[in-house]
Amino acid sequence: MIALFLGALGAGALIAWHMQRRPLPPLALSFARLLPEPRISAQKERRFALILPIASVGFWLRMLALMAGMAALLSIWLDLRGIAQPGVALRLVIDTSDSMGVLDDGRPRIELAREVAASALVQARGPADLTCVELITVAAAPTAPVRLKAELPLTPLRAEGASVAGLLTAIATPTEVCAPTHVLVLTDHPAPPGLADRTADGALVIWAQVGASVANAGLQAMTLNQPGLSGAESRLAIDLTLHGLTTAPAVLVEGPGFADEVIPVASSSREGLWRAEVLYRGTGTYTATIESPDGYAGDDRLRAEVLVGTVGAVEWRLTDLAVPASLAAGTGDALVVARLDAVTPADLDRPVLLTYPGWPGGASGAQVGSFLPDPALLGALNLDVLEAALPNPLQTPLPTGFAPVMVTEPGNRPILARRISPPGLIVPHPQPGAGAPVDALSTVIFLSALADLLQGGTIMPPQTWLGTSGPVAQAGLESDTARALAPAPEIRFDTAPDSRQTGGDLFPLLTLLMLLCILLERLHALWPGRRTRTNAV
Amino acid sequence: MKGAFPDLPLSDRELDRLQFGLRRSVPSEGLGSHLRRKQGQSLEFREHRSYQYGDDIRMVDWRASQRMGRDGPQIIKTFEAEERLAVAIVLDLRPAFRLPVDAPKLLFALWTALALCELVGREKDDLILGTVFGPEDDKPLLWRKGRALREMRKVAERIWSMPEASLEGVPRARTGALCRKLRPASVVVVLSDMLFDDPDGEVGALLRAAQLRRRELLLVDIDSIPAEIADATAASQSRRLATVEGRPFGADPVELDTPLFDGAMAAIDALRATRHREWSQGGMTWHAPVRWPDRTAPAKAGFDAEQAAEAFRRIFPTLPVLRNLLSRGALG
Repeated sequence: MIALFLGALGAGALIAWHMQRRPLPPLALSFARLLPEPRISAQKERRFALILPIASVGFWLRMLALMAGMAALLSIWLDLRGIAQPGVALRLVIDTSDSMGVLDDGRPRIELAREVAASALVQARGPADLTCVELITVAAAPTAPVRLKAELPLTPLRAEGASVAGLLTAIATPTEVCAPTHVLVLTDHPAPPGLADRTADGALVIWAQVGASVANAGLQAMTLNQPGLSGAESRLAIDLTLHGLTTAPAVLVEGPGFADEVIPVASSSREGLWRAEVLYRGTGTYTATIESPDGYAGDDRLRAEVLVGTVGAVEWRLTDLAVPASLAAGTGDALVVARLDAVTPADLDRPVLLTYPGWPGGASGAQVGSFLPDPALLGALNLDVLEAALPNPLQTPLPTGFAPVMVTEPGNRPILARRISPPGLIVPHPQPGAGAPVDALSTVIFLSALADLLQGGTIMPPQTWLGTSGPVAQAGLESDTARALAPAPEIRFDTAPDSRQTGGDLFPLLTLLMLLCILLERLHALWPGRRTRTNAV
Repeated sequence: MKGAFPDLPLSDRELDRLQFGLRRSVPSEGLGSHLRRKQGQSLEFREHRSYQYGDDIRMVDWRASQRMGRDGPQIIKTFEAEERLAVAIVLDLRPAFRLPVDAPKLLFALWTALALCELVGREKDDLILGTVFGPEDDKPLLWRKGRALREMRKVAERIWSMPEASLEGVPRARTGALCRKLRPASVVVVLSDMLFDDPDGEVGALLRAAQLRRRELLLVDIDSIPAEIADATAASQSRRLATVEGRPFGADPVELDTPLFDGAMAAIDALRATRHREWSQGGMTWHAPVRWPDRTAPAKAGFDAEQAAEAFRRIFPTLPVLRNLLSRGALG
């Protein structure tokens, strides 16, 4: 832009220079001695002649020289723009997650990181010109860049876990504060494999890991495993990982009315994962604690609020059918098993298994119509047998929220219906003793529906890690404090050109052209026979 | 016009043709202000006349005297005197004589001097070259028996390359040495524009002396005034005038109008008339001025050496001074 401005200015000045009307030299007459006294002219000589000097060879040569010079400047400016800035603009990315408080020879890792950062600032202010410093702290997420005007501020730790992804995001964060030429990352994470040496903007990335390896066992999760119709007991599982340890420490599990110390066992599903299990004692607050001290305390205490009732408890209202022995009686949120015509609207707000009188008799002349693929409900059925002894469809409208799973043909009347939330099924009432195949068909459909609604599984209740000074978000991410400390990187600030150079091949050629034009212009002006006071300027 | 001194535009062949043409058209005897020939000791018979007191007795023609009778006068036989003619060329070296810039009058004068030297030298006559308004140490040069042919060119180059004196100063004439060099019965050719100031009459005295003792004065008046006026008015109607020979014009542009130049021409005519009266001693021939540079239209781009040479080739053969010299036998 400056080159263009200078070029326009120079061109204007050149045109003005050539449009000058130079005053003619005084006229010398050989007979001037004999001239009478002349009259002084009233007309002043004009300074400029408004005629463009397009016929002047000298003008075009000078203009060409000017253009070549400006183009040379422009090319070198474009090159310089691609070269590293003359000074160093430093971005500090400091990990302020909870694990940066882990002690290393009695000093927290964050302090080590601050030392490295301060040393880097001193180094950057030395031989290089430190033009700008900006700071990004990273815990669960990176903060916005802040320009540092004085010394490095205290960077308090945040009770949050951090991942490498957050650090990488901070490295690449676009900013209006500085255009960083160097990015210094200070964290207890090792550099991820394949980390690029430079950012997309060309800034040099220096990853400095701080903190020596410290062995640690960290609680990762607390899950509730429910068995369903199997009759097994629900259990609470506490997962923990070991870093730098070979044996898992005992875990103290406290819940509603109990406190058990459990020795975890190695999990077969994942290497390094250990699991401690206790019987589930109903809804309430459960806390798991690793009592033996280790490297990082933030992940040693995990609290979960379990609000899930005991799976397997039902409110059985079918008087003609005995409740299965593995099921316990329940109320409240327990599954309601009842006839469709005997439930209240309040019952419909709970998980329900409802029956209607589909047998005996059955739907004569009807066939299985459209049905949805519902393996949990239909997987055990032989549809040919079902079609041969098809039950009567439901004669009343389906309750709100229920949709047909299978209908009759013709008539499109529902035989089976399902509701997603809260879970609910409507099936024909079981007919034990009705004879084959109705006995078998009705029993299979009913028990399939009951097993589906009582299906067990793994539930992860909301949980919180409790550090020494309060809750720590995602402390499980910080458990690995036993990572090997990588060698300290070479922190060097130079302003050598980087790979963004765009090439400066045109500069010498343009400069040569400019000089050639100047030479030609001089030769043209001073050529014998052309040398006059006017054009040899 | 700068640079090296341009060669004489006339070749030897052109000078031969010119000399031949002049001999055919101009009678070699009986013209001119003075008779060159006089009684002498050559073998060329002049006349018989009566013996007078003082005549050499050895010159008596006894046979012719006997035919006059016993009481008749003694008759003596006289012969023509053989005398080498001296041609003096006088150059005006005023700074203003180097004007106009593109075709200096000095160039025409030097070329004319060179051509005359070539013609005079062929007859083995002596040549004297002198200057007026020249440098203080400039002395007249004398070449005998046509030896000026080789030297004149160097002198012309030296004069041409002399550092230009300021136009503003009043030139001073130095003629004493030249006056002493003038020989009797010589021809003095003055190449000038005759516009110089002569407050102490030095130049006038020289020119008057050039007409005494059977000398003949030929004035070649080189007139560049019309060309200078045409060039000046073609370039601009108003312009600053340079101080020339002590005449200042101030720093303001002046009107280059007709009254200005008419006034100058009137003053010049008056000056010529006055000088004709003052200088004429009976042996002066002042021909009409020679127009230099001779061009039909003002040349804005200047008058280059080639154009000047062409103009000289056209003008020189028509110079009346050639006929005057031929009549004195200077050109053969």
